[in-house]
Amino acid sequence: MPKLSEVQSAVCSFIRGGPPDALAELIEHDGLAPAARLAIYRNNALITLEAALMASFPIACALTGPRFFSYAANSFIRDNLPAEPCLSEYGATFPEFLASFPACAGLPYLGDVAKLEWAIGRVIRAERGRPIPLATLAGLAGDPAERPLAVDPATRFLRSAYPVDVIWQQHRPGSVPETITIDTGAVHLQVRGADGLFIARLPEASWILRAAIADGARLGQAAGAALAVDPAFDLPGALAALFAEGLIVGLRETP
Amino acid sequence: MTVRTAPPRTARHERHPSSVGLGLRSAHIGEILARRPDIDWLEVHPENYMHHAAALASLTAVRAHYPLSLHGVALSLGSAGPIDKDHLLRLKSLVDRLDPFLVSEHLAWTATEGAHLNDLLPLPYTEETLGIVSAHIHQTQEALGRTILVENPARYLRFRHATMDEPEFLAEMVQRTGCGLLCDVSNIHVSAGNIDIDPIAYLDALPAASVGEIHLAGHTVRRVGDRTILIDDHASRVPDDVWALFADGAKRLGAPPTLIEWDADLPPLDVLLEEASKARDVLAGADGWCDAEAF
Repeated sequence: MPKLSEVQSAVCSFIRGGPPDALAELIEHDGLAPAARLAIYRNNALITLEAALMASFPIACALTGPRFFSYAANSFIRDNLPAEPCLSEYGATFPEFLASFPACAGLPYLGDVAKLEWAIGRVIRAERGRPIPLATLAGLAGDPAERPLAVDPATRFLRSAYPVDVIWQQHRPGSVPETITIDTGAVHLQVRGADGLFIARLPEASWILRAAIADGARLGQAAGAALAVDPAFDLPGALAALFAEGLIVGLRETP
Repeated sequence: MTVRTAPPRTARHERHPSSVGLGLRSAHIGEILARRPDIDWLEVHPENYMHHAAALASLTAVRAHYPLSLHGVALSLGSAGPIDKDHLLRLKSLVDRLDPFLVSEHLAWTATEGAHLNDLLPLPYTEETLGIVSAHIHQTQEALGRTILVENPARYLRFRHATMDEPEFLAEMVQRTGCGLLCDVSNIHVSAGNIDIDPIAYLDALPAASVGEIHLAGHTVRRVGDRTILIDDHASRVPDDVWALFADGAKRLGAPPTLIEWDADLPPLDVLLEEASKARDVLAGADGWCDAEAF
């Protein structure tokens, strides 16, 4: 008698696209070939996962068309089954997959649009943090430049060589598509959620400062990176803006 | 040394007889809050609220007006491997926050070797499986501090090495764990069509006193090879033959709280309310029948 773990391993291989042979021998015929019975489960599983990707990446789907999206999604699913129980968390690596999927080479911005969609999905689900005032920094015992800061969890930063914010906006349901020039230069985006969705383009130095802080850099390191791309960067003004916009929700311990 | 004790069974008086609930999908939350329709309770998949602060805030607002049932789909009670402890903690956190009157899961597995397949996959009904499922139900009930209901799956196949039929397995599982049963009447109908079991004999074999909830949903009829196959897709009205089986089941099972499930191709809320009203009429009839039997 096969062990349960063996049965489950065989079903999983079959859902990934493996042959049903050995597994089918464990199934009663009951008027239908065991392989056809197993295929019902495989179809149900694949339909669910494809629908989850379609729900998380509707604009990527609009860009490729649903038939191609379905092909790309199924190619992704077989080698990237969800590693987490909740379906809403599935697809974090799908943008990278799309970016490197040879059949998508004609849409060089597709992966970045998908990254923006994933970021939007995260920020609209996140619990917004409670902002702290700039004065908190002044009141610290040590050197503030040595402190990493906690950024509002309903925030993501991403940059792209393409105007993915415009592409995203113009492919939303109800939008009237216009010709988009895609070689307008890199965009540096801040995506904030909770109480609405706000996508803003930032100057490169501001973006670097904020993205580095969000990545866990110490304040001094983040400021140095921003000044490296723009020596005239108004650091005090940028720090004041960070707090005024409610982006900073706490202090992290120095690593 | 710790002494493991099974949590108490759901007592008969804790049930809400003749009560009918709706499966609540996020698209209907705004309308439910605005209209406050006459429905006894609502059921949600907890997974939809585990990583979504705004959705959880809306659900908490709903909870202020309706009793809730949490119907999990991803705990994977039937996995040969361990239960995902983080997932169980997230479920516990929702149970603590929302104080649901029912918590349920499925007699199925969805995960193996780190892959979460997100489909309710079939189990061979063997002693080994019974031991694993029972241990996972124990673990869940201890973590949550309450009993859960476990639902019979919609089946598309039978394993040759099974040593029990499904009602026998469910009865033994209830005996070992003190859990209750969620009797999905539509799943019995679907399984009966797909693997040739007798739905009435199935209902008769269930430990009726342990059934704490009934589910009803629509399915799709497909032709696969030379055979008709019923697909449990929760995307249409409850068909007449399932209503008939529900009337039989409600009498046998004591008219427990009953849910209208509709998960795909979601119709207007009024369609769900019509289905709920139909279910309420059937339950009221069955309840009368039970009372008459009691005296």
